[in-house]
Amino acid sequence: MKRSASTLAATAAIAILAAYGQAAFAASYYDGKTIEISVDRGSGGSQDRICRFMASHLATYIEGKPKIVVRNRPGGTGVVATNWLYDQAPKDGTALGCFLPIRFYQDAYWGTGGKKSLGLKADVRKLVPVAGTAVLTVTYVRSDVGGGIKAPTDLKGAPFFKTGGQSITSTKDISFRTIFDLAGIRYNYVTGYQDSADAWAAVLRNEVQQHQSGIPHYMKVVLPTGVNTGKVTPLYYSSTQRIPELAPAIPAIDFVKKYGGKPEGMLWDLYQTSGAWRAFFLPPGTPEAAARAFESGFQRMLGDAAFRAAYKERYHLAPEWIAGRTALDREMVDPYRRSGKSLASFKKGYIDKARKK
Amino acid sequence: MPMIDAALQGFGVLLVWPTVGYLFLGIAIGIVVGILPGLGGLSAVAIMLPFSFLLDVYSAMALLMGMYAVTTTSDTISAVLLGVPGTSASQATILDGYPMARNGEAGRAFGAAYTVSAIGGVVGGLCVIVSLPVIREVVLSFGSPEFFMLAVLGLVIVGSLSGKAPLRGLVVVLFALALSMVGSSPQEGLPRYTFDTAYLLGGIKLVPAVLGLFALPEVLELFGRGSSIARLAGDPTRGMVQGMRDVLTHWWLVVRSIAIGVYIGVIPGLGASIVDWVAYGHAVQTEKNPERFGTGDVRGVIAPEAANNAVKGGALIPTLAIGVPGSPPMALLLVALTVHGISPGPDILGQRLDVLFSLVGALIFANIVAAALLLVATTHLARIAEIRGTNLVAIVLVAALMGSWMATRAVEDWYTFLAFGVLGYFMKRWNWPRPPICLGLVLGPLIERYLHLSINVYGFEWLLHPLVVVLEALVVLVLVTQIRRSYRSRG
Repeated sequence: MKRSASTLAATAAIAILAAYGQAAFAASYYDGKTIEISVDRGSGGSQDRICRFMASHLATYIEGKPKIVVRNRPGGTGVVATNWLYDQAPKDGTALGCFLPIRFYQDAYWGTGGKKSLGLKADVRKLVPVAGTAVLTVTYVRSDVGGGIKAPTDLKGAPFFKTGGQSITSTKDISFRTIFDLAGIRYNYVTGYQDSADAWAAVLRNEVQQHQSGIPHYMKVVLPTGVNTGKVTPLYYSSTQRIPELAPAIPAIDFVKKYGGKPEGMLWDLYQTSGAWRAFFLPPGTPEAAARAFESGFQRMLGDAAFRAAYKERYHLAPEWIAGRTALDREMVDPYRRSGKSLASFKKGYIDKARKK
Repeated sequence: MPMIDAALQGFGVLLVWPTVGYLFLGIAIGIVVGILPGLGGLSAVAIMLPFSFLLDVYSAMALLMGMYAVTTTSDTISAVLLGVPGTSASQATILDGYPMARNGEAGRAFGAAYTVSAIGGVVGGLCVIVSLPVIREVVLSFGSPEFFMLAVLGLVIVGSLSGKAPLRGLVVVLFALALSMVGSSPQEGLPRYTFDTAYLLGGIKLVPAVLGLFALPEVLELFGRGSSIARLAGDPTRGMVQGMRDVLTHWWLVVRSIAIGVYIGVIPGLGASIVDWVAYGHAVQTEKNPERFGTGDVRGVIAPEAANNAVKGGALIPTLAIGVPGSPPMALLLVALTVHGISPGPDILGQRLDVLFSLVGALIFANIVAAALLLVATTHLARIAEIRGTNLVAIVLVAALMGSWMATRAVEDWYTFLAFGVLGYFMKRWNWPRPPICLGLVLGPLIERYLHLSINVYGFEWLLHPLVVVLEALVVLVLVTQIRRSYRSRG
């Protein structure tokens, strides 16, 4: 008993000293320093804007209040920035990346027929994720499909409608196709629209009747000009949590169940691994104390009411970011690690099926 | 909100501090950005966008719109004096603007360009207001089949951009269409002709390609010649006044070019990269003595410059009406609006009509102010054409390289610049037309995408859609006109 008490006391003392040491590291280390955050897309786009928004608030929550600058490193759909962070970025805790890494996790864990994404030299598994969020999307259809759609469950028995996708291999297309297939909904698969704005115009002129938008485009364009005017009806969104602001849309898993489908099996696994993630990474070899400083900085930021209010004012929804390597490993990376190459083969066949239609 | 009240509020706020200050700041930044090759309105708006979030909505719109509106006015400077497009919208201006500078008529080119830019910008802005009742129907009447046919129409204009060698123009545009396939396929998203490099995954970058195609051959020629750009001395002030008179003389061309600009701006996805070519090609097709185009004809400056300013107003229309950006910078403007709590569609067309009028007012005011400022500076600007060419070579080369690098900030942008520069040099030397390459690179992806979508959605019945039939007829008309002209010039 005595021994365990003294062991406990010693452990507690070490933990306190380590935490103090870490805070002391952070407080003194980042004091006067500049942190560079590299964004893997060009300036002005939604990825750039949200990374810059997060970066503009982050400094306040890092001990030492370093200066943060954001730089765009577009190219190769994320390859250039990822390679840079892996190979060339300083490994002293002053470089971060803000990336959309899912394709690279798929390559790493599934293998793209033995070939990496074009030009990718980085092993994304060695990058250190410190904060991330699943990119939320909303799927909607024209309200005049079939006999009229007012609720997500009204598609039952509706005639074929045309989808407005972006490309056969895009995560968005795979995502909505898998949900519609799981729910047993009939559709004609049309794809090739450049972006959500292009597809939205096509929906408005009834060239196609469905699209899946990211939240920024949905909230700023589709909702005010389509949903609120009764032209389109939102069906489901990619989060598993209920989001009242997106009503009458429901979580995708509930959508499948309402149509008598079962969210299980390879098709469901494919859906779960098709969602995009946006995350902040440190290069491999970054000191552990620096990684913890960022994790705790993000945690403080995400828990701060002022930040949450600013985020909601900008993006109309509360932030669904998570901080910490353990949580990110479980939520972001594990689905790929668990699913393995059999899912990669299934995905290839699923894409080929669309190609032949 | 009653329209009169909204107009008074929207226009009035532009005259009040700090909004007026931000408007002038935007104009100043836009003028500088337009002069520097390779930057363009999109880069400027992207850089200033985060700052605009901190301002009130009127100041934010004044800053962004002031900047965006004038880049295609000041881009004439490098196009005329150096033969290097200041933005992608001044490529066609080079064809006659630069020869005018060499003929000692830089002042005349500037006088015509700035006058017609101001008129085009003002009319483009007024079109937004006039079209309010019918905006939605006009924009939504164009679908994938119509976009495809518009792109094809743009391609057949290539014959008029090929001087006396339409067959060579056709060969070049086919080559450019093949080049436009480098990157990833629009339907499958898979790499295509990328030679295993990540850089080419996004396709051939237009800015370094165009800068290389036009700038490098001119730089080499300047260096080799040793003399000034202007082979003949000219009076810049008299030239400027002559240029302004030319606009009145060719008023009907001005009207048609503005109509083309607004029209192309209204159609989302076509954008400023082709509007100058379409206007120029239309001028060559329809004006008398077309053989003078390309030798320093002021009409070859009037047409593209009127169109590339009018397109800005046109692009506002679908952006505000239905939230579909008429051009890439409009996508960013949309972001700025929504950050300030204003949505496209019923919101800005109803409750926040004052913001719409403020945007249009900024567009109109900025065009007038920029044109006036640049007209005042014409005399000094025109003198640059008299500077010894070897003294300018380094400046032009650095500006072109810097502009190229802005594409993706990768060293490969310079490789692209050099590769197209070598190509452009030999094409110029052997009298092969270079403009069709620009058209092919821009229109190729549009043609592929919209043809695929048209067939996927409609089968082949889209060929009989009413607007498509009209466009088909136009294509045939343009082709027949070109063939007849070609036979006449030989015989």
